[in-house]
Amino acid sequence: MKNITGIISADYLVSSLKTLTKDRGIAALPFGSKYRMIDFPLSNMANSGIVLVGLIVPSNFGLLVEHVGIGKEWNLDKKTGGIFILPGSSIDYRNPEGKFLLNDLKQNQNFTDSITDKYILISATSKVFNINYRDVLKSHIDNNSEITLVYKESFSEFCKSDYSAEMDSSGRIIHLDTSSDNSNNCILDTILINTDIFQKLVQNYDGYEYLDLMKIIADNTLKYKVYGYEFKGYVAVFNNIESYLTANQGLLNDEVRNGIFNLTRPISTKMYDIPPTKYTKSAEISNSLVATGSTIKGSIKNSIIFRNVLIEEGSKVENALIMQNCTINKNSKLKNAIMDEHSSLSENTEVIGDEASPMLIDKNKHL
Amino acid sequence: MEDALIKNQTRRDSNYDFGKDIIPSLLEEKKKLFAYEFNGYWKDCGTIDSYYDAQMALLEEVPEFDIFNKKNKIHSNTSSSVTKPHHVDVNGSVKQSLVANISYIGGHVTHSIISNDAYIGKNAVVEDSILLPGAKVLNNAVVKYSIIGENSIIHENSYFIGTKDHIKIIGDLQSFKPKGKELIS
Repeated sequence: MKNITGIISADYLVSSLKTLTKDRGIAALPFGSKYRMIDFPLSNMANSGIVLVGLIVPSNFGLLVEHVGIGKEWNLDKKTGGIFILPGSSIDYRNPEGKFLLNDLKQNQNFTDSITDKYILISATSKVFNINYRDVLKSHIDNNSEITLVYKESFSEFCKSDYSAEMDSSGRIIHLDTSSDNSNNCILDTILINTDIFQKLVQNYDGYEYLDLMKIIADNTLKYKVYGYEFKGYVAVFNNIESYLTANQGLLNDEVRNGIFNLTRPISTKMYDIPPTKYTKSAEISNSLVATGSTIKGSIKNSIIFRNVLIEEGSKVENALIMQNCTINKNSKLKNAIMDEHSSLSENTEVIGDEASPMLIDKNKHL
Repeated sequence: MEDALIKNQTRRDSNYDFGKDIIPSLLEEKKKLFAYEFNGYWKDCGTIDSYYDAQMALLEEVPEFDIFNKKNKIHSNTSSSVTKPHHVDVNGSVKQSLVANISYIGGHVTHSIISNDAYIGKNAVVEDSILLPGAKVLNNAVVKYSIIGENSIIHENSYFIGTKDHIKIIGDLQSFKPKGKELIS
């Protein structure tokens, strides 16, 4: 699919995720035992044959850029195409949560003006799903559409502040809104747009850089042919600490896991050479997802364990998410909690959150 | 070295082997041959027993060969970038074992090595065994003291059991279906 250029927009805040995204932004947020959020749109693009991707990075881009590197794991380390790091506009103070700020696109006009592909696929990094963009393009061409937005039906309750679309019987979007009571079709932060229309829109809105591309599309549903493409697969979304934990635990369901980690369209992530996970005699484990490099001596239940985690003897972990390089020392208990990278619980410590609002242990904290 | 190889090539009585022919011929010619003493861990995995024992030794609390050592990492192929984490199901259990990516564990695993993409069905039992990549032990099957080859399948309700002194083996891409006494009644 050499006629599509990809743009991943990662320069926005999700303030409801508190410290989880403070130092790393949403795109570098860990998800599903060994991934970061960027892996999902980036893998979707690579699996759909997109070979040129522009990545708009937030101001705290260190971890993100280290993770993505030259795109080797996504086969984007190419001479023609490849991954281009595009500086974000350091968050426009008027619209810090806008996912597709015009300012970000404008600032990288060198890149967008040089696009020779006929189409641009723009995606944010807040939702987890496995999609074949070739199918979106086919529907785009069949509808003779100028802009196609990917949506999920009956989903608006999960993505409150997102746009939802109202369509006519042909699938053409007639109304697009963030607070629509009439429609329940949540837009999945995925836009397929004809390159000439994109360039025209960016030009026409000179002076309105604080606007979001979605807002501009919403204002132009009559002027341009905007169609919806219904995505029928599984989508994981979260907009706060609680739903972040439940979205991760969703992967414990076989159907969900097999849908997201589709074997024919694998989700790739940065590679590390690490040994398998070691379970000792005293280990007890049930209904959990575990990445490699960990050592399990205690007990784990309904939990998501990332790489290089040590759970010592006599410890109990339940209904928790433990990010990479964390340690739970002997005879401690972690329940209803999220533990950020490089943190630890010392011996005989209990951290028990509320089932409805899990406890968050920050990065590099030693309790 | 090059000379010795060329000379050896034309000899009919040669095994064409470094240890048996080339090195001794160099010695005969009084070339400067020296030994270097290696003091670290080493193990020849040339037989089934030594291959099995070497892997089982990794399950010791503090194995002699420390694959967890971050300073001297053992590198592997690049496929680990596309492999998902392993999943232990509600009624599954794992003790004293190593488990790699992708694997699904619905049954009970004790003192075993579970490679990438292995599958252990519900109520299946795997003890003192090595499952190579893609090996599948289906529901209710029992595997003990065995090595299951890559992408091989041990079918439902079957016994595949070796002993401590006689490790049972099934090669790559094989399928084991129970018959008679191998069937769990």
